[in-house]
Amino acid sequence: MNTEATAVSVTAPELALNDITAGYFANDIVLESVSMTVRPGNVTVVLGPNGSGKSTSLRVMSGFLRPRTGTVTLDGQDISTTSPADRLRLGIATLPQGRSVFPDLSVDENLRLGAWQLRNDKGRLNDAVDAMLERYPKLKPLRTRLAGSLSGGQARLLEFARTLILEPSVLLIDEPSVGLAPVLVDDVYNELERLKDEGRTILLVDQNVQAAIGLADQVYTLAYGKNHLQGARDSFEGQLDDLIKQWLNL
Amino acid sequence: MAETTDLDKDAKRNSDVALAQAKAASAGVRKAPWWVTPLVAVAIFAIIAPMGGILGLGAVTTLTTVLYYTVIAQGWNLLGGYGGYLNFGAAVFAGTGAYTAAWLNSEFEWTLWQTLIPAAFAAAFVSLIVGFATLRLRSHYFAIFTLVLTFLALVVVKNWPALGGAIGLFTDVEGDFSSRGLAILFFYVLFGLAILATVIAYFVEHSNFGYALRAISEDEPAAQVLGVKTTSVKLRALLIGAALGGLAGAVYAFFTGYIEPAGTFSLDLALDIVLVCVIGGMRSWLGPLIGSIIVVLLEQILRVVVPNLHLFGLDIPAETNRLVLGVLLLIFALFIRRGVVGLFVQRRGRVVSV
Repeated sequence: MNTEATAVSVTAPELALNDITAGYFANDIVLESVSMTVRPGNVTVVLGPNGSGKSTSLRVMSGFLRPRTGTVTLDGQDISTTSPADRLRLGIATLPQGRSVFPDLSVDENLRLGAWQLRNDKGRLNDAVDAMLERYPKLKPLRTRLAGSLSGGQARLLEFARTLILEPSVLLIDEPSVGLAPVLVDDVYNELERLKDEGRTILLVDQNVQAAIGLADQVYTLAYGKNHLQGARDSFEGQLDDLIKQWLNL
Repeated sequence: MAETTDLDKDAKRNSDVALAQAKAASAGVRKAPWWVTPLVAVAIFAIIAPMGGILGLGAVTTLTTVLYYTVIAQGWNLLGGYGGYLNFGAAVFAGTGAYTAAWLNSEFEWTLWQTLIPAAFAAAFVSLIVGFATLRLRSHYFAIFTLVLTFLALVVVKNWPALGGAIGLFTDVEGDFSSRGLAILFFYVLFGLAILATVIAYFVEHSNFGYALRAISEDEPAAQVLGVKTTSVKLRALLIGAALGGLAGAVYAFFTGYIEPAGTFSLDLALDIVLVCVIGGMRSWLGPLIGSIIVVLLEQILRVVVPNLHLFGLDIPAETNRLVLGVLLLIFALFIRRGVVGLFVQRRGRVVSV
């Protein structure tokens, strides 16, 4: 796994938001001049109170929301108007918030849909599915089960597998532990730990401040849709409690 | 997640839950072998095939209607069933085909055969416009829009002098046919189209395109995240479905010999098609075929039987059949969501909502 890990980090590009303004409705701005950089091989964590624009930043990165001003760049190349499907082709994969498996399709079919871009290349598709079953052996005996009958933890595993199946160079992960039982939250963080150890490039949005900071290399905090603080993890470690208090008072 | 025995426990607990539910529902994990559905389809078509020559005129006409519904319903089911985009637009596309054929026939004396392809193209063209305008809408908004669309089509055609306005258009089949000969002709044309539509549905269901549609139906944002270009997939499904509807409509225009706006762009047809797919099974290429047989035969029987019941000496209007079908729709939509086909072909595992 280690050789692969270095390969991932070397080829990974740098994804950046530059001075982004964005919102969902005409007279409503959710992000105001937000900038952040997802460095190759790093885990970048975005923190902030509810409604501060964390998930919206992620949506702008994944292409589901077009910025009104500012640019999204991948290694300096402007991808602001690139569709989500094409961004996936460029190696930017998203793990959305909440349960997103297709309940009436089997585990196998869910994985195949994850590798949708390989649909015309049966050989590579099968290899990719096998590789994911190798990576997550717990999914193997469940292959023919309908995804709707999986437990919360199993479904999360499947979602991880589905997101990783194309071996993306940048992973955007939105609130991975929301709605899961506490035991399963640990599992999710173990998995994130493993992704970090493999040297993958990750942007993580989470409400679970302690756990997220534990993983982070870089931290950005947002407040009211604007950049608030940013820096390496170490500079945050002492002031965590202050931060949380501050957010509760915001 | 290497060190987690909790997940094992969780899996065990969950499989227990699933098992209990499966037992309770007594549906279990029964799954018919893969060849059962194709066999049933072939059997149905093989039984229907000689009927054109055997049955009386009335029965042949009824079976022709079954086949007409099958073609439109197979087309509708691509987006409406697999894609989960319930809509009431079937009559618009069939009507477009019917009017294209009738117009080409009455104006330029094109024959039935010559009008088929243009009718399919015209319906596909209309679906393209409709699709571009609306397929970004999520399901129920789309359903409501298609409802309006049927009225819109009605109004447009009614006020279009070249299409006969409110009076309508007459069609004429070339050649010397007895009335029975004509009935047999339409029967076999629609028989061929029904096989074509069913084969198309079969291939769609077993293709990547079919997977994409099912993914859209289950969780559209998730499908987008995985790189499925959902609008384009939906548009293609609508387009193929509309073309099939257009073909059926063209034959229908010759079959009835006369079309007028209210009868052609009728919500009755649109609702019937939804009913056919819901009763037959919306997630299966066999569903629309079985649903058409059930719905058309039931409608015919009710239309004949109900007025003769004289319950409590009351005169019961023939329209009561719509009431019965409406109740049936509710029962299927609420309790038998996979339709008749789903009762026999159960996918393995149980769907447990979490």
